[in-house]
Amino acid sequence: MKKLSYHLNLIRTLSLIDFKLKYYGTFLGILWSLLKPFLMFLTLYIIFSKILQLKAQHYAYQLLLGIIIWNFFADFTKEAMKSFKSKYPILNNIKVNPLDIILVALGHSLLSLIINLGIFFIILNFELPISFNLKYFLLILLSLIFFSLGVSLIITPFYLRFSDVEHIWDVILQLLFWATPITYGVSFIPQKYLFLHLLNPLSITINSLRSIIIFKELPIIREILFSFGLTFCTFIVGFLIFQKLTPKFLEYL
Amino acid sequence: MNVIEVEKLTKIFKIPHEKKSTLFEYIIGFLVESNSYENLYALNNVSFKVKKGEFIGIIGKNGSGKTTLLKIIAGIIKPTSGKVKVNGSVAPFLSLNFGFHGELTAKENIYLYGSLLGLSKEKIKQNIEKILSFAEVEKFQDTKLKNFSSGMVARLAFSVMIQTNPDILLLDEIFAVGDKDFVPKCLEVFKKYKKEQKTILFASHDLEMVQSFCEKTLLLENGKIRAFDQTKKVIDIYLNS
Repeated sequence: MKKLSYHLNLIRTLSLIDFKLKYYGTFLGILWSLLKPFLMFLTLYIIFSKILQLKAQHYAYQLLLGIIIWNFFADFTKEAMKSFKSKYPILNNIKVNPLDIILVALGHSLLSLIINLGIFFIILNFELPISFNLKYFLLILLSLIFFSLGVSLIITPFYLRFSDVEHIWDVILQLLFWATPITYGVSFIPQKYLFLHLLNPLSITINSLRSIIIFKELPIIREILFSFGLTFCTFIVGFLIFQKLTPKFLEYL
Repeated sequence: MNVIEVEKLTKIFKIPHEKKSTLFEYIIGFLVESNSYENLYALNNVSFKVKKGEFIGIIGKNGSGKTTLLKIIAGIIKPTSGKVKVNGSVAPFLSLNFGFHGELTAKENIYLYGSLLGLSKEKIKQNIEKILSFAEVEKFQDTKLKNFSSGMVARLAFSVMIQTNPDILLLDEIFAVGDKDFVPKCLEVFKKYKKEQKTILFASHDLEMVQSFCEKTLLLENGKIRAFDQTKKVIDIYLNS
């Protein structure tokens, strides 16, 4: 029991400090954690809605929700990867469980996600009632967290060994951003590419959240279960890779 | 009772002939078969035991494995082979700046390191005045650490660490900072720890300090134990080698 409280205390304290440090010395401070997704939203909204004239119901909300979920995934995986380097002075002086370092990055990304979702609901409130299936909502968020965690656990050890992984991951994120229905809806995906949607837990997460929150529909249960399965596998594989490789690769820091 | 048992400890660092940190370099190296490296034995088959209440000095030239040994005992790095058994809580004090974060204030750093050392938030809150006053930095609690002198940082680090009330203290060259107020403070704590039967491992180049504090001393040479005996004898061996 004492061990658990030690880990929780450590993760909470370090996440809050990291959150603070991230925007330290910037003029707008923590506001940046809000501004970034909204500026990104504005850009994409103008391109897709005004210039390309994409027609979809509640397009602005769909886009914003997609971006918020995507940003959590992208920011967290990048943050987790780099946190071993930024925390090197700590790791060189005190024994820390490497998994805790990843969870600190998660804690601090989750904080941004919660703030962003909060703002999203406030905006949504002007047009649509905020009533949705909370059980599904939380379940889907949980699976998003585990999927992101699994991916981080897979890429981080390799980044410790090969610094190229940072750039490779940037490219992969870029690809994944356009392969995931963020700027468009699942209905735009041609039949023959629909399997890509099924193989991508991020895609299912975003699609399901849109159904629940914006369209007040039940998500497609079969898809969700499939995505949970993929998430579970990703997490287990990530966990095993991380536990096996990290202690060895930490010496390359 | 043995608080530390080190058994056949070996640590090998692979030193590549060419440093490769990117995948591309690695692949090229693989293709032209130049991924060769040398094995550097930082520690080579080291075994010894430390009893509760002992103050052990660790001496040896630079690169003899002192820091590596302490880091392995602290659990910061893993040994290549061999075992370390530690009974009790360990507080490592392996560099003077302790890895503090320069952009954070003294108070924030206390919370950061307190939680890393296993202190609960409540415990830190209760003791923060004590930590600051022992370090003599009460006036600077909201000052960023990058504006502190190295002596102030060392005092603060030491002050946070003794709050954990460890059974075993690992110290590496902590008097190198040469801060006038820091040394007596440490000595005061050491005396108290001696009475409380705590164990200290003290790696240093300062033979006088080792002589005055440690009844036994370990002499390392190229990762091997050259001698482990009463301090006076070991220092004689070291000076005559």
